[in-house]
Amino acid sequence: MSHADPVDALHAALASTGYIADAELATCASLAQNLQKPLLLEGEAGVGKTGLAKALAEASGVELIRLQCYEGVDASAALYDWNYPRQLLAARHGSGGDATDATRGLFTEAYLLERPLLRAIRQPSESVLLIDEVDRADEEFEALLLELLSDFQVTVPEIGTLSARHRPRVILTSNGTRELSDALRRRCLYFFLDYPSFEHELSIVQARLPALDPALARQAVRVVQQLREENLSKLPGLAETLDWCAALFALGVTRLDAQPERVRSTLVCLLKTRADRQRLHDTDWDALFADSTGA
Amino acid sequence: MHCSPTLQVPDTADAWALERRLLAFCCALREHGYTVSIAEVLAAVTAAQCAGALDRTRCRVALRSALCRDRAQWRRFDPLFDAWFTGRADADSQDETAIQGVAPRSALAQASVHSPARQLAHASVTGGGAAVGDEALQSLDLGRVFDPRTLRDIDAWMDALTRRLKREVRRRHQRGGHARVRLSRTLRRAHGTGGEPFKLVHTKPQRRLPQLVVFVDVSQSMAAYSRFFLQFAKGLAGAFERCEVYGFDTELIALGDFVRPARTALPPAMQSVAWRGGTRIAHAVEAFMAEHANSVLNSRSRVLFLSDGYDTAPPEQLARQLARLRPRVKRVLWLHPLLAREHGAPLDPCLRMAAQSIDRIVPAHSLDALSDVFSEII
Repeated sequence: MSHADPVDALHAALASTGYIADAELATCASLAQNLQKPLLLEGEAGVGKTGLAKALAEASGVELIRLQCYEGVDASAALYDWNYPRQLLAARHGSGGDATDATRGLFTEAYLLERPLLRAIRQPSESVLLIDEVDRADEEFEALLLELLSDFQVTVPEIGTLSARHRPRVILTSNGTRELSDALRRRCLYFFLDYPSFEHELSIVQARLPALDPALARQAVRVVQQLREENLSKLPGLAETLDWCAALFALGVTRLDAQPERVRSTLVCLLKTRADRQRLHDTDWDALFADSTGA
Repeated sequence: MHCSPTLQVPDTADAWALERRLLAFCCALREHGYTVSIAEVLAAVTAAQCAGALDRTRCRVALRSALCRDRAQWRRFDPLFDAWFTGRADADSQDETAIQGVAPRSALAQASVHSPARQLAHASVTGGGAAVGDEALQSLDLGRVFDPRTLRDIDAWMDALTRRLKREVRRRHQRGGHARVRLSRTLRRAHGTGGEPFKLVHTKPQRRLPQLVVFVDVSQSMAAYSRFFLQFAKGLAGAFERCEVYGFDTELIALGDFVRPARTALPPAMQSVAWRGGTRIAHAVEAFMAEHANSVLNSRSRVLFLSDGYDTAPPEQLARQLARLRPRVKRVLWLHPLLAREHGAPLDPCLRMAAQSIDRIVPAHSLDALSDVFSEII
């Protein structure tokens, strides 16, 4: 199936992988692809930020290279490192007692260990580079990314500048646990991924779990949408909705209000903190389940 | 299909007109707190061309993605876009209600006419009296200062406090923990000695400074103190690399851009808060939790409230909001300007009910009291 419009084409390609993007996200992802700019996705956990990168890679049939950020991640974990044991062996093997001769030729590409960022740059074909949860990394690490995000190149002091053979499609995700620097933000297109609307969430559930009874899917999504209006410390995301629906399906639930006891046992999929579990009592849940049957 | 990542030259009069309008819109966003450089303008117009500038929905998405930098800007963008491209009369008012803390500069400038500093300045002129000595100055109740010379002395003392805070923070920052051996660097250095690690390479982990979040009550009931508290907050923002300052009366206002150390005097925008009547602390905390908490708070954060704790909402609301805030931060301090003055008199019911979520309630009526707060922070 061919599409003249690149946005529609991308939308359809993502849908074919099970990722139902709304029109705005598809437009933005298409723009990032066409303008060859990184895309910074911000939003609560479980709304589909990482999923977009996976779906893009799958839809395009290219490799997904993922860098999971964490506090303390640095160049040796993200960009490159030297193969020290191999260098030491080579130095001892070829030294003949002269230290200067021993170190000659040790800092070449033969001893370079590629980490995700460098691997994406040196990939012989197109790829999707996912820099996940960049807000967990330190500010110093952001500075490391700037050259890569603006020029798609990295500089290894001992070798020189390595430019991308094929520019990877870069997706950065952030849960907003820390303010990212302006320098990083201005190199990216920005998209805030909010919780989906009822119709959008329902279409995602139906796409991911086609065997689930449509009436039950509507009920489940309506309950989740109502939960997001509650004063909870951790609101259920799309991932929680899908988990919950899968659990309901596995337990053979047909209607939420018909089997409330069984449904309550599956709420671990939705509420992830003790305080949230205690906030809503059984009667609240029964009311929620009853309300969810309405049109 | 790939668009050209560079700007395309319009080839018709309509295209020129549209592009001029896009450019003007990008520039107009600066008035609403968006950081839009020339590079961003070019990127935005290129994105709009690529997405299809004649399709309003796509044009909106393209401009929003290219020009917004965070969630707050993202949320304010649509009303601004509608106002510019559809001319809807209510767009401006929508923007005003949507904006929490960033108003157009012209509005801020107008608001400064009624600023607390202006009123205080007026009061100080009529107050008269003589300046006081250093010791007396430091123990003087800030709410009872009207003399212009004393106000100038307090300003100077606040500047000195800022410098002292900076020095102390730098000193503590440099005092790191135990050094660790960096294996990879040690091995690398060993190349020069044929693989024998004669010299170990150590790293010295830097001590992480706490992050501060400061809430300054600028409501009517705090009129006598809010000027000094804003100055104090500005000093903290200058000393701590990570310090976010918010003002509140009936609404929460982010003051981050206005308390940067480069500024030496209180800017008009900082003085424009307050005087709307009423105090809604619980509402301000709730707004903070919804809009800023995720990006600002972490387990090392220290939260400071500079307020008398008077809230027009029912007391349990403040208790509920602080109970949400407390588990997410290291410490919550309440700096109460009337605590010393009241000689142990009962706290405001709101504050009493919320006390279990507050680590310490300390007096903050004088310069001495404010300088003592520093030891509570670190």
